[in-house]
Amino acid sequence: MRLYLTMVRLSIADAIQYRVESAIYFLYEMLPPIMMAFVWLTVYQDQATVAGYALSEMLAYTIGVMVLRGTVTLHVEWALDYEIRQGLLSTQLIRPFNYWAFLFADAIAWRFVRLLFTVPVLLGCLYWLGPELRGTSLPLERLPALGLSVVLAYVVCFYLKLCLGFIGFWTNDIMGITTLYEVVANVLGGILIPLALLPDWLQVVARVLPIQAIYSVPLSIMLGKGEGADPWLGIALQVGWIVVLWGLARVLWRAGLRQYESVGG
Amino acid sequence: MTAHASDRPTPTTPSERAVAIASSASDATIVAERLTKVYRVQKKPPGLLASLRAVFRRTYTEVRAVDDVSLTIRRGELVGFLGPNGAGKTTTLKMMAGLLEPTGGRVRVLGHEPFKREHAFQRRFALVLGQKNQLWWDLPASESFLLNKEIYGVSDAQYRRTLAELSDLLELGPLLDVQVRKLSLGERMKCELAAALLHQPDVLFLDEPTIGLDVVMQQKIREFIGAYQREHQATILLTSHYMDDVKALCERVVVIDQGQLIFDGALRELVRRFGDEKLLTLDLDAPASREALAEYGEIVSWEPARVSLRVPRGQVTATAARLLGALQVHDLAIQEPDVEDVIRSLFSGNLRDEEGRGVRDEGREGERTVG
Repeated sequence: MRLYLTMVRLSIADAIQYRVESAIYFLYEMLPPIMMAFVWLTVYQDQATVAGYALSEMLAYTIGVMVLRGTVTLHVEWALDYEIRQGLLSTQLIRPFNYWAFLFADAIAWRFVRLLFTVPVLLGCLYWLGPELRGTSLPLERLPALGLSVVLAYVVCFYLKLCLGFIGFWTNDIMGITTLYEVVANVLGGILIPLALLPDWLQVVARVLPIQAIYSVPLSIMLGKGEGADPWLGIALQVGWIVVLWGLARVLWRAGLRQYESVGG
Repeated sequence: MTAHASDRPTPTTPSERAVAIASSASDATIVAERLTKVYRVQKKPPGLLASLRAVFRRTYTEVRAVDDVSLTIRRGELVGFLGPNGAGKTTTLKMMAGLLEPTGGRVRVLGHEPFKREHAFQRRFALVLGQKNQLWWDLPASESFLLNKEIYGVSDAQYRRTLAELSDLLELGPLLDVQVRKLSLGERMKCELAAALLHQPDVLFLDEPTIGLDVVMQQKIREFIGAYQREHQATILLTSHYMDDVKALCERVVVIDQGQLIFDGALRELVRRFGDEKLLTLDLDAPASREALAEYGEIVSWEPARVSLRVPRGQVTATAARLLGALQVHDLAIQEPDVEDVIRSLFSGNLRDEEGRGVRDEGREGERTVG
């Protein structure tokens, strides 16, 4: 345990070294949902609901996306890709420790720093959109399920990004695949708009992808709508994805290490 | 050291037990038996069309990076591991460290099979790759040290003791609290070495620890390695391109070329066996012309009054006698050739007819920076 606390502490110290970069990425995380809030304010001038969402619910969803982007969307794939390409993975493989746990601790550290950035922005948004948000409420009995599902969303994201990063074993660069992932996640993960706004056939596609378990599931639990109307169903879905992605990550890791070794370790 | 030895986990399978017994009886710390590593390398034909074709049909060639290498290194030995680029040195070290799985043969280090990557084994060795760094780039080295302390489960007391000793030997004092990226290459290497030694490994693999360093820093690192080895009876396998490192540190050298072991023995013996020429140096009372001297041997240097000749080993005494008779010799010295020259001629002789080497081992690692 002391080992992992040391890792987190070091990673936080490391993350703080990258203040300017952090600030720029932070804007990248915060701005799209904030712009969507403006879009929704305009759209709802002419209508009371969109796909069953009242304005207050839609804004709550959008702010929720913003918070998740800041605190849950980790980027273990970048760290991993770097270590694979630079061959630094070799120095990790010979150490008597759990490398995945190290990556997890590193990701937690970066998200912790980002959380410090996110809180003031969240407070600002709540102040700005306060009048429009009146009308939604978060019943207390949903809080435990919401909290749990945010933690699970973090774990889903970790294993999913781990799989993305492992692709670096076979490619020179994972830029292409991560860009593609971003595009898909924006639309089919529920980042840009709730999945209910998608045409039926696209909703079907979205439901078979793991990305919804990161954004759509916790937010629908928060609102009590869609797949989160029964919170435990949403949580079961997340747990299912964790198992599947964990298994996939293990397979990719083993095959990837063989590839890594075949080119000289 | 003794504390470590008692931590040795009980071997479970009969073969492991046999190896453990064998190694404790003979003190053999590193044992390689017919160790072989074959890489499958994709052929990349030149030309756009051929490249396109290669996307659909890949052809591979097999490269024997390490070929049937057997050697035993005892506890406390400091062995120099020599060979030209791409000879298979790094591949061998990586198999010993458990980064690569042997294709054939086997290797045991401290009684363990390295590729199993057992933590009990990993806690007892360290690998320092001169061209890679394990320290956190943006943090002071002391932070990376703390992480290593936790990873290797070093107690507070032992950590303080070891760090004090290493700081003293390597003069780390002022460096520890500076961001690693602000250190010079040599300062960084000192910190890398310290980071690798905090858990007091029984076995140390050093791959080019002095690469890129200036002469003074090379000297310091070299002295440190020697002092550390004497103090701790650590078993050290060292590769280096600098013969000074090897001359200063290693009594025994292992030479590998094209994956094959071509020499294993004392450094002096290497010079005797492969240095088939000796150096004759004459101080002359009456100068002799180049032409007059050329018939005795190859002229290495010629100032009218002082001449150096390279003479085949077998003819040294006869040639010396002839010279003494023919010229007015004031003084005559017979010297062994320089180790560097021996190694250079040894490797260049092998390299001359070998053009496809670039695809091997380190050469290929340069292309895709893994390793």
